[in-house]
Amino acid sequence: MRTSLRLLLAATGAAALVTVVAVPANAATTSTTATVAVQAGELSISAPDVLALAAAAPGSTATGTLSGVEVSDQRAGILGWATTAAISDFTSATTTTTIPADAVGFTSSTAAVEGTATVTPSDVAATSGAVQTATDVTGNNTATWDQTVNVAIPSDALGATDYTATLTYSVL
Amino acid sequence: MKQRSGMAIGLVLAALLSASAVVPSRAVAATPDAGGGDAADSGIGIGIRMLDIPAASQTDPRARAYIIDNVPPGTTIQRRVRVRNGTDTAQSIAVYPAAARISGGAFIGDEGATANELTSWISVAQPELSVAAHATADDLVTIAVPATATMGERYAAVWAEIRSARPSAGADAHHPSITSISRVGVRTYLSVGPGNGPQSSFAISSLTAQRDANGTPHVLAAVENTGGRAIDLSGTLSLSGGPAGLNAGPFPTERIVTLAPGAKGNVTVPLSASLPRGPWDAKLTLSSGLLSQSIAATVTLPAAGHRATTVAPAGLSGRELAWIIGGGIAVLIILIAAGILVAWAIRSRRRRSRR
Repeated sequence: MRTSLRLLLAATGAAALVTVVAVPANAATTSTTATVAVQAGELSISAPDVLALAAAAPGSTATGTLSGVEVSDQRAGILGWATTAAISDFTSATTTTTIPADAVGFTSSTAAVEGTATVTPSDVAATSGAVQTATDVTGNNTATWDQTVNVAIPSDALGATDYTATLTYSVL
Repeated sequence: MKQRSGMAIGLVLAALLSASAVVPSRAVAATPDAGGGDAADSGIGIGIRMLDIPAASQTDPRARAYIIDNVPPGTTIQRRVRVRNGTDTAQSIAVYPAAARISGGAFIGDEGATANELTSWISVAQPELSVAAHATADDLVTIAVPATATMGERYAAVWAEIRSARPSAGADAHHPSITSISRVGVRTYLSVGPGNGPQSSFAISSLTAQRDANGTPHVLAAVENTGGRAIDLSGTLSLSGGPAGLNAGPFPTERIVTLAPGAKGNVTVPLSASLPRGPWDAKLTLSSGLLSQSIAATVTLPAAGHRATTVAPAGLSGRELAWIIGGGIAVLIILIAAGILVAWAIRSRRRRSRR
């Protein structure tokens, strides 16, 4: 066999190898993670309800309670969850004034728990924080509690009836 | 309309006490869940679940509930999520990513739609889903990691959110109120790096028995995330070999402790106040997903009124073992080298003296 022919064969072989190797390599760069469809369990929280605060004079505390906040963890695992509450500043369109959210506190009742979980309430004195934390979870669990929101009205607050704020419950 | 004028000027916040103080818009509780089947309306309020998980981590419970992946820069991954409206009315559900962080041993989703580097890579196919009552809708989360992304792990959450309608509409448009938002999220731990990414590992270095102000004993385990990925630690402590052969436990950890790579933290196990002081043979097992570590140590609870006693684990930690083995080999090599040197010196001297 001629040397040139050998070289040609070798070159062809090398080219073929490169092609074979290159195709899957290209395919791999578009998506490296193969996924499978699973029916994982769901984490859910009760729908938001209107929270209304009782009337309060400046210098006192306005209080409102949201009953029956519920978290349902159907993920059938051991991962816990934490529910945090966060509140924005109270603003009034008529007086264009603000009651800062740092005057807000949250207190939670002890949760009624179904399933195996330890759900610990914690009081929050800041604009946001964990109000209920579920640990030692085994399988599906639900927790229901009452959430009280206290707003300390500064004594220099301007009177208005249209103060509004946004209260967010997050479960993660 | 002018009902409001009756209110004193000093009234800052006036409103009705939540008249509808009932559990809001729950699915009919009379239909029991048939063993956690996927009945569309078996839940409450708003729910989210993962539909895709990486084939490689099917057995990892964390990967079933969270988006956890390691990808090289320039990669795009996609995951489907199913969002369920468990209320009695059609809802517009917002689906969006927001920043999250690991702080104080917890995974914390930031408020609102706070952005971070990871959220800038995440897009949601349908940011606003219209879902009928007791129905579900699927959404597609795409994470496009740019080619310029640096190595490391980043955190975010993908949220599904519903807002309460503006309260008491009609009676008084200017009624003071709080708009409520409920949102439920999927944690996202995304590591950027080549191959399968850095290894996950952690070490338990010591156990401390202590009492809190109420006199309740706790065992505190000092843990360190020695790997390259965040971990969510929980587990149990078993006590055995106590006074009169008592066994106690298992006692669960107080909460799940999330540690970023390189971070140190404490895992607390509350014990019963009625436990005798010991000494106990304590065995603590902590796990994060499929990763698990145990240590055993002899623990004596502090006397009432005392604060703490710390003990090192009875077994050898990995690092100590590495020092022993590595150090041993080093010493052996030095000894052999010295032996050869001495033998050579003796032989050469003999040869010289023979001459």
